[in-house]
Amino acid sequence: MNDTPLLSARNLTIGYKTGKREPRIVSEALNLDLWPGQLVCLLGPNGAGKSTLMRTLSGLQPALSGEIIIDNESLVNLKPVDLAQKLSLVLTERIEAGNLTVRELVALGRTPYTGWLGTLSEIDKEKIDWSMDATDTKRYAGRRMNELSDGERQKVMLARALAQDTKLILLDEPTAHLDLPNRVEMMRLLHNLARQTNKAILLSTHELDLALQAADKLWLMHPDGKLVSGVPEDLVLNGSFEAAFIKNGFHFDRNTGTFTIHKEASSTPIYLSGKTNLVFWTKRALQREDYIVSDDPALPHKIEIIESEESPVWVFDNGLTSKKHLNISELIADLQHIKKVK
Amino acid sequence: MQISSQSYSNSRRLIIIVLSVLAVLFFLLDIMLGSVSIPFGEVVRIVFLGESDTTAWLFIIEKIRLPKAITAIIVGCGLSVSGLQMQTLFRNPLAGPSELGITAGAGLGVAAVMLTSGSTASIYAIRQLGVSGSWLIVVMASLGAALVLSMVLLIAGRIKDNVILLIVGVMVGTITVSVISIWQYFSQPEELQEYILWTFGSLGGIVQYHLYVLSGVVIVGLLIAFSSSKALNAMLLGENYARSMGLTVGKTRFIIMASTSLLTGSITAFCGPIGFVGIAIPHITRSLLGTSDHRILIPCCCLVGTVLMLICDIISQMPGTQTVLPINVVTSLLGAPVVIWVIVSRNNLRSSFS
Repeated sequence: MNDTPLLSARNLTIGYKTGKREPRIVSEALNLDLWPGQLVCLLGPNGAGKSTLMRTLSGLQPALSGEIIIDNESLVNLKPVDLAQKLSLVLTERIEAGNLTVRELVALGRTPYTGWLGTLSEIDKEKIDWSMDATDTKRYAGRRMNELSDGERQKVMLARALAQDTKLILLDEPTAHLDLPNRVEMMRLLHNLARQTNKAILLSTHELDLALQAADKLWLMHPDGKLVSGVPEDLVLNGSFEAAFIKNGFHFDRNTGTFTIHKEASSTPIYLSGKTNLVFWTKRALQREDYIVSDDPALPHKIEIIESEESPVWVFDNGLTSKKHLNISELIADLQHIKKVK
Repeated sequence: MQISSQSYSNSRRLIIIVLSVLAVLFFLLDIMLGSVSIPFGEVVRIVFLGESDTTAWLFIIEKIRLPKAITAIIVGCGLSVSGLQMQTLFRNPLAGPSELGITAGAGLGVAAVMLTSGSTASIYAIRQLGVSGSWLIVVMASLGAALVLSMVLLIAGRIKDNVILLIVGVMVGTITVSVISIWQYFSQPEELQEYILWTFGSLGGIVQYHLYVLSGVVIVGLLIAFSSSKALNAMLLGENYARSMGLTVGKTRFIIMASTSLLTGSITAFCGPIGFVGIAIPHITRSLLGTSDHRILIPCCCLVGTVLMLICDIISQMPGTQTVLPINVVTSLLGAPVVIWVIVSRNNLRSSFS
């Protein structure tokens, strides 16, 4: 079962064809594979072509050239009903079918399987129940869509996609309108679903750190349309991750896996030592104030964090005198002096 | 949750039963009331048994009032279902046959028949046409409706903005109306007078084979609409989702358009442009039943449409007097406040559509 990819693209070119003009190519020579049981995150800066790729892979938009193979069949040969039984979607667009109850909306996911009038069989009902259990949406089965929060709404849309009972699920920015706890929950849910049901899940997202944590594989789209794929950690270590998001004004910290806002022409290097968690937060404060934190003890400016019985103490040594501070706020106020001196 | 959905379906059943009773009641009332008043018992006897002691009453009911009441039912069902389909197709609460100029398109079709026939016959003379003539009118009116509908769809199909769609619809409607106006300008005063009479709308005078043709076409249109209710449900989520659920959107759109054009075209051809029924009744039905499921909405729109058209017809007859108001005036008087209510209560509007 695991020896063939559920979705693969060979030599794919995506873009837009408008009238008789030259087609606008967004990305070309794409070779992609999506395996069962994998959660793949498609990352890239705005305008790199994430949505275009998602739309092309899901058949909403024709590919300019190349081939997409879904479950051993070419996408162009698949009839809409057959495709609907292999691939389901969760889109960014907000659904405002407010008069539908949650259960009715999830039941719409069974559309490819039901008869001409859409009557639900026992199997259909089972699948609907299962998908509502899996997404924890049963609690509000009888509520209407317009009574739900964005987070609940997105889970209902996922439940609908699950009810469609496809091996492949494509989600276009499923975390876009959600707050942090809901984003984390959504990613966790998708990660577990991929593992437990052996489905292949592809999602495009802007959540870099969540994607780094939850994804089995990343597809990184560069602004120039190049796509690099690999395990998240590999991509971080070989620099692909940084390259995809390169822009002035911030840099990627490989140690923590986060992007930090980083101003140009930054000033004084400072040596920082102490307990790890204290150093971490002090470092953030210093970086915000444009200091460069270095691990060279020979520097004239040093900060040592000493942990006493009750609270930590920051000792700032400017090469001549040393001063004790009880919190970061005071420390930063003191540091302003060395800025002025310069 | 089971309990709440149970109570939903219970209250829904109650509403449907009440509506059915009202439909029968108003049907009989519509036949009973008029310039000549006929006792209720006698009406029931004539309608269900087809016999009466007074031949005048029998004649009035069988030849005039019964066809008129049946026409009211046909119009109520046809226009409201056509409005419902358009609202789902455009995902827009302000879509409706008369609002988007579809009725005007049907009028153009009717006018075209009269123009090309080369006779001095006016639109009002449809009723003097034979069977083939009435078929021709239906076909042309439906084509005219389809033409306008596809034009609106072409221009505004990809735009979800309510206001833009409405403006496009009104503009296309205006173009159609001005084409008709040009024709009016060059026609004889008698024809003009009769055309204006047609625009007031009338449920009367459709008898025998005209009634058969009209009801036949409307039943076909309604059946097409009902059989596409699954597709209409999927369209509620928007075209992209509909496609991802295995719908061939182009085909679905064509079927919905065909049904809408047949319904609006045939009814407009025979009864004149009847406004506001198409836009108002789907809203009333949706808020009555609290659902967007077209498998329930389509039959219920027919019920609500029947009841309201019968009420409008009763009002238009001005019971107890000899005067008859044009039906279009009555439906507009009742329908326009509903449209205002829809626009004012934005919550209701927003919750059903994007």
